[in-house]
This record gives sequence, structure tokens and C-alpha cells, in this order.
Amino acid sequence: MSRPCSLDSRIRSHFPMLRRQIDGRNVVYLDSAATGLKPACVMEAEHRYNALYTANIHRGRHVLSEEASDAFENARGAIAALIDASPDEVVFLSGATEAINQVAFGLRLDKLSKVLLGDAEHHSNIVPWMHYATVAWCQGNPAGRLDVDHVVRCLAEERPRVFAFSMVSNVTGVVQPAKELCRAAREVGALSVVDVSQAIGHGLVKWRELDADFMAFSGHKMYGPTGIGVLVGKRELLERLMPLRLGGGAVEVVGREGFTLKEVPYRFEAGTPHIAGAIGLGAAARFLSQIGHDALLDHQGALYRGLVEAVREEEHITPICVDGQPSLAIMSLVPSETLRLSAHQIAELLSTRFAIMVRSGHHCAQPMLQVRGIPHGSLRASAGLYTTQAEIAKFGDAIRYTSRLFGDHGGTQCVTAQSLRSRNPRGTTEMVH
Amino acid sequence: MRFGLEPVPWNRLHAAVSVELIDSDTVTLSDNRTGFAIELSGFDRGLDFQDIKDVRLTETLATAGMLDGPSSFGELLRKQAAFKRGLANDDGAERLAERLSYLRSAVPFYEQRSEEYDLSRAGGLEGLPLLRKLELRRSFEQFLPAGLPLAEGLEAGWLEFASTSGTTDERIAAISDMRLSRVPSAYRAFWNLEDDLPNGRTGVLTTPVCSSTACSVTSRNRGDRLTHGSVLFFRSLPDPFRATRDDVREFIDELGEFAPAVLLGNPVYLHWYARRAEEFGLDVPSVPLILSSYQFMATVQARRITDLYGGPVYNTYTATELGGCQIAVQCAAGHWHVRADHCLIEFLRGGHAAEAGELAAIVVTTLAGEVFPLVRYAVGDLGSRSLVLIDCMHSEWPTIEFHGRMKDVLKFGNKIISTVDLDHVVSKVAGIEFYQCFQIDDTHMVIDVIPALGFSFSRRALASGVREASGAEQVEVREVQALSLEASMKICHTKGGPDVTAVFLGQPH
Repeated sequence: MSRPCSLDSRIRSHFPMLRRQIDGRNVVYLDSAATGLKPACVMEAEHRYNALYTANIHRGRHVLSEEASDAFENARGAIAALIDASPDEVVFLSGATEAINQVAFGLRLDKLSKVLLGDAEHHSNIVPWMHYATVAWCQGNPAGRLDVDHVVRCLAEERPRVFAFSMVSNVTGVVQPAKELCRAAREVGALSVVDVSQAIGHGLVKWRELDADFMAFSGHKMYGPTGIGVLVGKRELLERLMPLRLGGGAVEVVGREGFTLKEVPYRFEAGTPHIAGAIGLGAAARFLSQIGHDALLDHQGALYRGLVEAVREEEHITPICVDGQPSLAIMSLVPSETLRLSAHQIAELLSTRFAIMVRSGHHCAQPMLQVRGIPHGSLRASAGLYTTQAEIAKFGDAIRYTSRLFGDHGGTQCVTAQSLRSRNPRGTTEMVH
Repeated sequence: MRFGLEPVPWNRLHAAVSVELIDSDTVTLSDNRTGFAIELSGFDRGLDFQDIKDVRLTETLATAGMLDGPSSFGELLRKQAAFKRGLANDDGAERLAERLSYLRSAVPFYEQRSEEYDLSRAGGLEGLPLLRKLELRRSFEQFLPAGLPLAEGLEAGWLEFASTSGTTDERIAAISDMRLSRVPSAYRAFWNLEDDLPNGRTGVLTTPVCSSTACSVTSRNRGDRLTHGSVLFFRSLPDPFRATRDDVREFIDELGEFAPAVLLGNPVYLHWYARRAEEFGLDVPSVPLILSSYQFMATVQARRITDLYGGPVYNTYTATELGGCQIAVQCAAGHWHVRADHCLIEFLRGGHAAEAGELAAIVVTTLAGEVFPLVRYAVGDLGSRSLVLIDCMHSEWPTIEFHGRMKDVLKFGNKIISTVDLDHVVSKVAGIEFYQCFQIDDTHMVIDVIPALGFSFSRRALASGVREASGAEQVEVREVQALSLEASMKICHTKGGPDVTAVFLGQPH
């Protein structure tokens, strides 16, 4: 596996998808919050398993089974190393959604059990709690950071069993004071469950430092395969958690009268797992480890500033964000009533006209958007480690194009690419074509 | 002497023709028997239409069937059709030249290519460049005329942002002019409707991604799906074949309550929903007029939709990127007529004009509306020029045969089989209600069939008919519960054949 370079444009050579062109234009992929592109090493790792040592894991004595088992456990180790956890704290599941469901189920909650949530959560960190328990909301500015003092007051008032929150909002990119929030939960005896899906690929997640009780993330958000994810939990808590899925692979002994479970983490991994996916995820973890947390985080910070700058003077489409708060390079924009297109239509136009891929809709965060009075959804641009400032600038140009063409300026507008270049206040020579 | 037969003055206007003064020297003469009207300029106010002295005028009016005298209704229609065709031929070339002149001065895409789109330099329409989807994507804003009040039009609703669904090479964003009529003039006579439509309401049933209001058409809230107070999008499902009893009941109830005069829809969705209603014992409300759009309507579908909804169903043919123009529409006799008021079409085979009846690529030049005007746009469909002359309300509009999408053809050996070719064969086998044909390889085809309720069908008859028509060596027939959907959520009837673009357009794709 070739060693990834530092986070400059050469890192892009590791991502084959970036060679894709549509209508002769390079694809500008700004949807990494939905799923990250996969580096060649991840695809290679999955391919090697499928081509060279396909076998089931943990139960075979033949050499291929041992190779597969080793690779699977090495992947677990690589992930643990990335996040500063022990391998026995790392459970392979299908994704963050299953991981949160596992915790919600495994804690044996009931409708008398209260779970406190922030009001900017992803549906996967809302719905399981609604199903298994009773949800209380810690209302604040859903676009902004949770205020620790406010959360402390909410915790004191609600006395929940669980406090669940996302380390990074998938809508605004805002980074929560996660360590402080976990401490606040601990101080009132509540368990902390942190969804780190949007954080895991950007150098923010250090399990020991975070000191949460449970943590969940999806592999495909950290440039790994889809269909694989991780639940991380303190060992003593995992040992008390009831597995959501039971069956072969999770049990030690099965007799006519009952069964005994395997040790943590295996008791949560019933059935044949997504072996290739786990191995691929291990490769993704190594890839990120070689780049390093600081470089990943710095890159996101620079791109976020680029996004802010790119849309700063726009009157017809405005970002959902709060100035001055730490954020990753995820930005949601809402078209105003003076822009005669919906978020969906803007996304379609950017895709067909400029080969720029952004997401539109509710981003699985309907409560947040409802509170903000955004019933029809927003446009979201999100950067990955391969995103460049030039791509951010192209996005800004495309937003300006859309705004000039479809915005109500009180007169007629018809903007050609040529006239757009001359109006660009930043004087970039990058042509929107 | 002839008893009771008085000689009819040869120069008297027929009683059914009304005269309307437009301005000081222009009148409109409207034949109330047929709806046909002509405008006369240079009108002399002293003219007595009961005793026309001007010989040239009487000749013209006689040709237009507007003078008094014995003549059957059929003869009248033929006379007026011939007159209209004459007018169309005369001004067709003029219209095109005027259109191009306008485009070269007002629409940036053509302005920037003024020499390429000069008709006289190009030697005629065939010499102008072909336009492809790629160019529409890359040059979106260049197809909007200078000075177009885009934001205002979108706000007021006379312009609409539209995008096509489907695969990457099919996707286009465009602007539609909603003021262009989706219904041909004199539609009542054109479609043999006995009565006027009872109201101005239109119900629409299509795929969730077929409309620019994609978000709303899946909403359970009826208010979200009602636009302008008169167009209701029925709630669309990602997979119509998974529609539950409650889904179907909701559609039936809304259809009954909204009672649209016109039901516009994807024919497979229309058919399937009504069939499921039948299965569930729900009465399907009658609809005075059904217009099929969005995709090809199979013969069996046309029959069943008429049976199930109690009203006639006619095909309409348009494309999202045509700026609101319609390409063709089916008359009451079932023939496709080009909407000559909206566009001009050509048929190309090997990049050159095809013979009448020869399967060819349809190339469209829009003549109506100002947004997104397209010249020689390869719309991606196949058809053929027809020489059939029909005595219908718009017999002056050329007739065509529509054959389906180019990408949906099947090809075995040198034989290209269009969707319509195959439909002709399948429609002859009794007991089939839905079908899909997949070309697997050069010799093998699979046909999935959903039989009609309570019926069986002959697999042997189907397989042998299709084998003979297509040249496929092996035809496998399967009975299924549902058909597979495209990325666009439409249901194509034939798929899997090779790319035949070069065969028709004569250039690398």
C-alpha cells in the first residue's frame, strides 16, 4: 500500500473516483458528509480479501480462515489505534445506526427511562431513543454549539438515564464541546452516547480523551466501505449491555437449556459480519492514521473558512451557521424567498450544469430544520480530505451564478458565464464553465 | 325547372361562418361547424358577404369551404384540411427563417454561433448542427433569451424550472414556459368529446421524480400537492407495484373528490393503480379525458385505461427540455400528429433525412415560446414519417409513427426492434396486462409478464411471436408480480439492446 502524502492536492491521487468526468468536466464532490470517497487502499484491501483469502472468520482451522480472521482482527486493532481505544472496546456492526440501536436496546430502557437529546440531532440518534425510551429535548440554538452550562441545567432538570448527542452536526458542521458534555452527563449519573460519524474522518475523535460511555460511527463517513460501522464502549458497560442480535458467532456454548455469550466485543457480532467491509475499514483507519489527526483537522478548518468566504456576500441563499464557532467544512444553505428555486432544484442545477455534487433536503434532521422554520430543506456542501480550495471556489461561483440568474433583483437578469467572471468580486480566474 | 331547388349564389358566405372585425381593415372569419378560422387583412368595410364581388376572395373562401353550397361534413373537413396544409407549407419555411433570425439576435447560444445557424449559409435546415443533451447541460443559461424576467416568471408561475430524471446522460435542467398550451386548439373536435370539459381541473399521476416539485408529490398532505388551485398531483410512490390498499384507496378517494376534467399521467402508473383498485373492489371514478405522457403507453394499457377510467385516453408526446413545447399528440382516430404550432420535426437515419415509413431518430426544432428554444435537437426518440392523411381537426399537422426511445431498442443481428415494434406483437397475445422485455445478449431475450386479472396467457404464442418479430433465438417468458423500475422510476417496456445512436444520427455518441 502506498503511503499517503500530506494533505495537499497530491492526496487526490489516492482517490480513483476523482478522475471521473461528467460532460468533460471533473466532478466536484462536495457530499462527503453523506458518504466519503474511498481511497484505493481501501478498495484494494477489500478486493484482496475477496480474491485471495476469502473465508469465514473465527471458526475455521484452515489457513485461509486464519488469514481472514487475522485480517479482521487487525482491522479492529487499526481502528482502536486510530481512536486511542482498546481493541476489546471496538464492536463491528453495520453502521452508526445499528450501533445506537444496540445501545438503546441493550440498556433495557423503558418508557419511564428518559433520554436527553440536543435538538440538532440526526434521525439515527433520535428515533431509537423514541422507540425504546422517552425523549426530552435540551433546547438551544440548533444551529450552534450546545452551551455546557445550559446542558448542565437540562441534565439537572430532566435527570435522564442517557444523554445522547452528535460530536459534529451533519447539517452545520458545528463541533460540540464533547468532552465537557460527557463530563456533565457523568456528574449527574447519566450515560453519554456520542455519535461521532461526522467527526471520525477529520481527526477529532480520541476515545480516552473524550471519556464518553459509548460512541458510534459509520465506516463510510471515514472513507471506508458502506455497510460497516463501529460501536465503542467502556468495557464494563459493554459487559452489561444486552446484545441486539443473537446467534452464531456471539455465543460460547449452546445447549438445549440455554446459551452463554462470548466475551466482549464478540457477543455483539452475531452472524457472519461484513468481513471485507471490516478489512476495508481497517485500511481506511491506517490511511487516516498516517495522515494524522492534526493535519486532518487543519485541513477541515481551512476548507470551512473557504466555504464561509465563498458564500459570504450572497443575499439570496444564506448559510445556517453561527459566526465564530468551531466548525468542520460542512455548510447548509437555505434559499430565500427571493430565489425562485428550491434547495432540490439548486442541487439538480449544480449537478447538471457544473458537475458539482451537493446534497439537498432535510439531511435526516427534520426536527432541527422544523425548529429553524426550514420546511423545504436546505442545500448542503461538505468537504473531505481530498477537497481543495479551488473546488470550494467553484462551488461559490456556482452559487453566485444561481443567485444572479434566479434571484429576484427587481429587474431582468440573464447571466452568461462571461458576465459572471467580470462580476466575481474576488477576481478569481477560475472559470465557471 | 327544379322543384324546391333554388340556385345557391356562388359568392355568398355560409350561414355558419361568423365575421368578427379585429381592426379597421382586418376581419376573422370563423367556421362554427369546425372551429376553423382565417384572418383577412386589407378588408373593405363596404364588402357584402352575401354578395361577394371580389373573384379572388370568393376563390379563397371557396377553397376554405366557407361559401354557401351543398357539401357533406366530411367533404368540408377535407377541403379545410387541404387549405390548412397549403398554409402550413407556405409559411413553414418562412416561420423557420423568422425563428432563426430571432434566435441569432436574442438567444446567447445561437447569437454566439450566428454563422453556424445562418440558414442560407447552411443550405437549409439539414445543414444546421445537431444539438445534443450535453450542450443543454453545459450551456444552460445560454438558452435563455436576453432580458427574460426569469425570477418574475418563476414567481408568477408562467415559467417553471424543470429537470429530467434518469441516468447521468439523460439528466437535464431546463426552463419551461407554462403559457404554451398543452392541449391542441379545437381539442373538443380533435378528440371527439361530446361535451365541454366540466371544469378546469387537472389531476396528475406520475413518478416522484418526474416533476420539479419532487418533494411535494410524495407528501401525504394534499395541500402540498395542489398547485394554483387547479392542478393536483396525486401522491406518488417510489414503487407503484408496492402500493397498498390504503395507498390505492387514497388515490381513488382523491380522484373522486377532486374530480378533474383531465387526468394526466404516466400510463403504467395510471393503469396499475386502477387495476389494483379493481382487485380491491374499489370503484374507479370516471374521468372525462385522460392524457398519457411521461413514457410510452402500450396498446394494452390504452385499452385498459379507457376501460378502467371510463374516458378516452390519448397520447401526448413532449420532453422536459423543450421549453414547454409539445412534439406530437394523438387524435381521436389514434394517429400521432406533430404539433406544428409548436415545432418542426425531422427524421434522420445515418445522419440524413429518412424515407417515409423508415425507422429514424426524431430531431426537433421548437418554434413556439421564447425560453429554451432548441434547433435540431436530437431528443433521443425514434419514429417515422407517415404519409397518412387524416380527416380530423388538425389534419394539416403531419402525421408520424412514434416508436419509443432510442436507448430502449433491441437488436438481434442486423435487426433493430423498437419498443412499438415489440408492442405490436405482444398486444396480439390475449391475457397480458403488463410486460417488460430484456435483451440479455445477442441471441437471448427475457420477457416478464403480469397477466390480466383472472386470465392466463399463452407463453408459446408470445415467445414464438416475439422470436419471429425480433430474430432472437431464445425467448424466455416469466410470469412476475411486478416490473422493474428505471432510475427515473419509469417502467420501460424494452431494454438491454446496444447503443444504436450512430445508426440513426450518423455520428459518434
